[in-house]
Amino acid sequence: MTRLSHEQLLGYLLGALDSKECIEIERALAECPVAAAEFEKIRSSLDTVGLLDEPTQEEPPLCLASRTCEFVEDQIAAYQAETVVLRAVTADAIQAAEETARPADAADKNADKVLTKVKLSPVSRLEAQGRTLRKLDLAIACSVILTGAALCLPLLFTSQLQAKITGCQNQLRQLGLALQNYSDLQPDGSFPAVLANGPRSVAGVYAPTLLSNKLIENQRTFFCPGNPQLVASLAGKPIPTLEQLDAAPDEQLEMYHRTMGGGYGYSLGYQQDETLQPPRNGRRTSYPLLADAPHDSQPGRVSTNHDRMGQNMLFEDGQVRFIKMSNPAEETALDDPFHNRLGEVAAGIDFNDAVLGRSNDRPMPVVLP
Amino acid sequence: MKATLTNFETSTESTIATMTDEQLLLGYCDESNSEHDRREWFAELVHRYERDLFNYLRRYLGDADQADDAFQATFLQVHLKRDQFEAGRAFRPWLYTLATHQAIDLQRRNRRHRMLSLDRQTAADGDNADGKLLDLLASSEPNPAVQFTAEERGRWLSETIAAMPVGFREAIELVYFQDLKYREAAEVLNVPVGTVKSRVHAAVNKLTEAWNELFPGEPLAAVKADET
Repeated sequence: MTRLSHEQLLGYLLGALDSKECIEIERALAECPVAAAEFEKIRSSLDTVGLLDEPTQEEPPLCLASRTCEFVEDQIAAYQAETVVLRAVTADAIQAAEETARPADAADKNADKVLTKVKLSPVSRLEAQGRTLRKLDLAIACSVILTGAALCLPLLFTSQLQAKITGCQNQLRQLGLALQNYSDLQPDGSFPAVLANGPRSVAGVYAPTLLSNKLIENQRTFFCPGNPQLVASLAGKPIPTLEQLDAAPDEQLEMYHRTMGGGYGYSLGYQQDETLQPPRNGRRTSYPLLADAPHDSQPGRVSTNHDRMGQNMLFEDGQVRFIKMSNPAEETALDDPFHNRLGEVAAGIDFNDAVLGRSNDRPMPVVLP
Repeated sequence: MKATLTNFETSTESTIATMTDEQLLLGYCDESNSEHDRREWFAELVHRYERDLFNYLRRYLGDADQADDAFQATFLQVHLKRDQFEAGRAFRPWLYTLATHQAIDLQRRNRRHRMLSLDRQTAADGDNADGKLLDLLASSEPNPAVQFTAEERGRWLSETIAAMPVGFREAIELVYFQDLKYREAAEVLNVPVGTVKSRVHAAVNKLTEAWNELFPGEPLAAVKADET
């Protein structure tokens, strides 16, 4: 037999139970006289206090339903009008939108000059936030994105630039080590010599020299990562060995001279007693031996390898530094690394006069007849 | 030109009358239906609940003007939250949930929320009559043989329920006055069904006590909580 709680009986009498529960209770009451007696007692109490009567209801206010429908319609119309205003971004557009956004009851012909200012209600503003993507939202989103980009892109650019500078420095250190090894093998401690005449009479000769002596294996070491255009332009134009250079016909030789130095400029040596001398290893801290290649189009012949921000320089003592200078001769205590003391692109006029020449630069100035 | 929602065509009245509340609201939500139909369906919903919902709010707020405002605000919420109504659920408890929230908001705004209990002093409807609930319920008529008319008893019932603590009052309001099932009242009040049952049970017992205070001659038995 189903056991019944007073709450269930109460719910049954008040009509608060689902139909399935009602059927169960009716069955249980039919089976159990005790429950039926208890049920009757509860029913009597509820009847006495009036809970089995129809609830007393007040008459609603006059036209409440009609007024409610009108109220909801007005709110919908106001919201739609607000949306028009919300979509306007400029002050002129807002004014135009306010002139056109009138509630329906103000749209009669006699009210042409009556303009309604639309005030945003919290409900409409809340709904407007979720339903529409306005131009103002887009403008704000775009400004946030642009601000973020403005903040991030320079950092990205800077980090890329720095990465290339660092990569270039690593290559210069490798080349510096190779040059030191070469110097160690020479009785006078000289570095690769740029001769006064012949196929080996350009600054770029240092690269074939290092390659031929097996001091550098990868030709890419000669190309600065900060100048990808140069790398691309020299693709398929390998750096020759000294034998290939010496044996090259004039046309081929000219091409070798232009390209074999890679992305770097090398010391043109110095003049002594009207003879050309290769730089000799004195472990000098301020004597540049190799650097990003100078460029004739730039003031002071500074390099274009790193977006004209400066150039990496390998000094004779093996250190590599990035020198930020638009005009190395004016802005540093260094001896002008790209000109000799006479201002020429030629070999230095003394032992300490360092001059770095690009691949096809010659140590002896060409005297035009 | 604004259309009037209340002008029903006779030919459609019979059709609308047979539609359930849920069908009316879902039809209103479906924007593929004609604007005319949607307005009529919405208006039908408002008319159907005009009396019940107003009385619920009237008793909840204790003020007819506030109930009027809350009623309109409730149906505005029906429009604004129409997309949140899921097919398959009952409209009535959902409507009363919205109405209860609107009433609570209105009370907060007006700072006129009267929290009454059996031991709490009250100022009923602007009167400064101090006293406890049982004092309020005590009849000025000394003769217990005096019998209430149905109308008087209904008024006594409403007043006694209105003077109950809010939890009991809400439960009995929804179950007795608004004819909601326990399950639906629990949904409206956002409490377990068992809580609604016990609150209704307690409210009935308080009514019985109040009746016995009023007419001590033949005391009514309280509804026990134990099982039979």
